[in-house]
Amino acid sequence: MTKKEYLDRLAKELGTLSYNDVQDILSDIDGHFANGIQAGKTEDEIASALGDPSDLAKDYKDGMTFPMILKKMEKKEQKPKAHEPTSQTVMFVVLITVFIGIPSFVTLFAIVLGIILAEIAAAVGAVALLCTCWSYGAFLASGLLAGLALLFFAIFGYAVTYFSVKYFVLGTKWYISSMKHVWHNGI
Amino acid sequence: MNSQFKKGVLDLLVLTILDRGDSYGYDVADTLSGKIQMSEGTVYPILRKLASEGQLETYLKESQDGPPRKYYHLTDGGREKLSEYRKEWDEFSEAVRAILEDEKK
Repeated sequence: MTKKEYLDRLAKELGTLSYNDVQDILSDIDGHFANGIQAGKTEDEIASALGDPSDLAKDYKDGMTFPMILKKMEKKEQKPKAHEPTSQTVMFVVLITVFIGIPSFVTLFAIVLGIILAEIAAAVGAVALLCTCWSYGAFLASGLLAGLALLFFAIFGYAVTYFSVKYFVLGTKWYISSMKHVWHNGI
Repeated sequence: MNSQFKKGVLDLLVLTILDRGDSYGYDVADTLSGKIQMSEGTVYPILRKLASEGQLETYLKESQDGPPRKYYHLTDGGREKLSEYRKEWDEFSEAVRAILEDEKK
């Protein structure tokens, strides 16, 4: 294995560590190769003496686990202290919600509701026209055409309804979570 | 030799080597792998762990013909840990030896 292959495989196996940790580790192992070459060894010899990159990555991760868990626990413990929202953030959240959040929600909700109703109407209309057009006699062809057109409109409308409901829900969730974030962490 | 068994002792050996003088990763790996059958890579995660725990300090030093090397220096905290590990190891190996020799008789 060449130095590059070894470092690439090691980097891949270290995937879950932070960017800085990975860069640090790669530079240590890169230095090991440099020293080995100075001592007259080939890249392949150095790589095989270092051992399997996945074993090495596992050793690094095992060594990291405990301090990383400790750090995470410290962060969790510190968080509640910064929780009390200041009057400024309260005002920000209330004003944004009253003047932007609620009006946007109501408007978008009305639009989505309109889309849903239009979709239902188109679907019902298409089914009704297609089921009854045999009785139109001379107007059979035009009734059939209108029914098919409505059917395509309903199918197209289904996609529009699906995405509008989806993004309406996503948008609402995003708004609530970002307001929560501001509430807890300040502007 | 059982690798879990070796890993437990390697901290002690790395600290001991660095107690005799500052050194860099390649040198520590070379010293150890010359005497114990192990992958040279194994010492790097140990050096990193010991450094993150404050038992070692690092600094860069120019080498004659190559990039600067990262040297490891044993801190006072590391020296304390070393004497602790050393004591544990002496007691443990003495107990093991005693049991093994009893078995022979």
